Amino acid sequence: MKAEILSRTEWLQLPLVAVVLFVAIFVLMLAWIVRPGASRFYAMRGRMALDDGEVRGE
Amino acid sequence: MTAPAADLPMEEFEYDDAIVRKFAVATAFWGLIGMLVGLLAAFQLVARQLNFDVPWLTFGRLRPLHTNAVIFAFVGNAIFAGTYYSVQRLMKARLFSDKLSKFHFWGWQLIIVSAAVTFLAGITTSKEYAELEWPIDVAIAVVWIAYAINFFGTLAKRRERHLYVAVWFYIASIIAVALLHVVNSLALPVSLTKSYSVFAGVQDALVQWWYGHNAVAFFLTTPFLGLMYYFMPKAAERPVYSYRLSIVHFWGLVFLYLWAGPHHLLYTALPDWAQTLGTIFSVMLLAPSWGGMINGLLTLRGAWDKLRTDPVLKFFVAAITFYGLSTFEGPLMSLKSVNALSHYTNWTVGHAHGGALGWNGLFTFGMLYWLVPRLWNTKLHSQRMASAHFWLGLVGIGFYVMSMWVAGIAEGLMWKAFDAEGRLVYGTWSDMLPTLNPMYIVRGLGGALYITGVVLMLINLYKTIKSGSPSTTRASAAPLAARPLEAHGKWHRLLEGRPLTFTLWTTVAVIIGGALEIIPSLAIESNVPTIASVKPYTPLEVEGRDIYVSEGCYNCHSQMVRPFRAETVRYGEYSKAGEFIYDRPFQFGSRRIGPDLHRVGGKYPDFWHYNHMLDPRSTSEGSIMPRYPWLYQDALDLDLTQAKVKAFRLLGAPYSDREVEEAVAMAQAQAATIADGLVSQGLPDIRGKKIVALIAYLQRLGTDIKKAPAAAGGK
Repeated sequence: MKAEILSRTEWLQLPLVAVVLFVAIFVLMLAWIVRPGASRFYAMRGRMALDDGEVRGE
Repeated sequence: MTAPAADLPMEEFEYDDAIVRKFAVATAFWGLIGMLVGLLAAFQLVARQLNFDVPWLTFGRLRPLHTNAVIFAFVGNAIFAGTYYSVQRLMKARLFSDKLSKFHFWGWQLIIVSAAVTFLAGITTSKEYAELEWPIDVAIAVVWIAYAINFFGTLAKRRERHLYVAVWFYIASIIAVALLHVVNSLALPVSLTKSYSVFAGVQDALVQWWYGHNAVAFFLTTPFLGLMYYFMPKAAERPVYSYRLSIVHFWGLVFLYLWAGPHHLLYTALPDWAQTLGTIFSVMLLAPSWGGMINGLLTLRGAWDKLRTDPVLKFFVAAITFYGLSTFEGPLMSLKSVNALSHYTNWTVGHAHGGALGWNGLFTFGMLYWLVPRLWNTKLHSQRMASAHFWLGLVGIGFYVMSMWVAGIAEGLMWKAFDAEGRLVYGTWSDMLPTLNPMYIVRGLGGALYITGVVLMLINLYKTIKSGSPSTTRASAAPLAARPLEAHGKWHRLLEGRPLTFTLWTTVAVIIGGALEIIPSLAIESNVPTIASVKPYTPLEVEGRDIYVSEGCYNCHSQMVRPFRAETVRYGEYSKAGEFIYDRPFQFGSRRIGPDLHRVGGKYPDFWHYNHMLDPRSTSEGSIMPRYPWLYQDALDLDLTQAKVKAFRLLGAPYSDREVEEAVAMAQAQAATIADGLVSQGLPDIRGKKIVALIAYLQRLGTDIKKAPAAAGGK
């Protein structure tokens, strides 16, 4: 199937470009997620499950 | 979590816990029923007398009832209980609509009852975990939409700006299950109780296992990961270990999961490119899966001492560990060299139950032990009973999974064993049964231990409920509009603070994998080379095939000879994609409790099939297959035959006008030929009975390719 799809394009570097794009986006997102300045923000988000907003009723 | 300033206007409201109570009780009830059915099915493989010669009690009908009851009744109700409890608290809002909640609950229970009745009656599509016929499929879609409206409506009226990670997993589950269910259920009805898949052969197989694999992903995994991210911190009274890791976990998982379905079809007639994609993405899945496991377990950091005394945490920690084990075993089994040994064996059954009993079962029990005292405003009746349940469950799973590992590997090796002269060491199926039988007994004992634990839980929860009273939970939170925006997290807010945007991106991530695998397989003809000698089934064979499906033969017999020497020697020429183009639905199967049947056509005379179906042990010594005496008594119903042939023609089978018009007469003529042959050998006349159609179908299987060997193409 790959050969069939590639036979319709003259750009044979397509699979390589796709892999590079995929990996680059993944690495950039990973770097952004682990950026040092966001620790406090993530710590607050991580505690969300503990806050029910409940006023214990009858 | 936004810390509200003291001067923010606060709103008071009540959470709807009544609906959570209903789903919690339904979870416990259906869990016991589904597991008891499984236990009976397990012992039917040890003692075939337990089929009782009763149609609705045979293994082929009970097995889909067991799998569906555990997945959709037990696990399904647990998902709804857990998501409804947690989404209200995470969003600081009552559920969107009490009426929709009730409709959702009663609609789902009605679907479960309908499923039980239809499966026992032999009404099934035979597509695993999607066996329900089209009217029930429509009902599932309607109830699922009600659930989605209720869920997303709750997000719309939330008082919390940020969507917590648990909610992301719920969103992905709701979207993906809807997509999977609709696509895999596409069928052409011929009556209220019968329909044919719009996909055929290998394409149907690809769609089915795209669904089957992702039903595991988005019904048995992602909702429970959401529940893990909510209930584990609650039980441990600790924040989640790493919110960063949860982001990578979520996006990695939802993007990668949809690609992995073809690993269920390795070495079959599915195109190689699809098999390779399935394997690669299965291996990649290990990373986010273990990231999630580590995140769940390390949430208990600094509080491991609680494990000694808190049964809820015991269940959660064991469940998450089983999640890790299953998500390691899955990629391992998707490697082609391992799959060549494991596929169609009991190893797969052990793998599935490690996930279902270990991950889903234990987590659900922990959640119920945590929820029920809170929902009834009381304390758990007995911590010791809960701990006893935990150990019974754990030991039960151990017996179950290890016996199936041993049985599976032994089976795989026996299927492939050759002696010095190049002959199969285990030439007949009954040669292998003495090795497997002890393992089947240990498996049954493991299941019995597990269910004993469930009975303890039911007693414990019943006494807990009796000691309390339904609670009303009031809450207080500032309205969303009054909450100031935080200085940090602007980019996160663009996604995680906007349910619609988040849902759209999740949908894109979910769709990519499936679309890139399924669309080319449907659109590019070279994927399924046609074979000139392969023709549609005759009208009588169509009826016979429907009986094969109805009796659930696919639960024990595959129809896919893989390209291995051990298989071609045992069964005959390996299966080609072009041989299945008129198979709606496909019958590849996923387990060989008995031998493959794809080349059984013409292998034995009609006389043999007549005796075999009446009593399998009369032809196959030591067989564990049940008897099918009702097929010799029940009349063959040809009322729908013409409609069925018409439906197949509409779906692309090249039946002529004459074949459609004279479908019933053709079926009767073929039945008469078979019956006359048997009468001449001293057997009763079966021309008007179901068995004659089944014999016609079995004798056709895999024979077309023999008519024109030169025309047989490759895969």
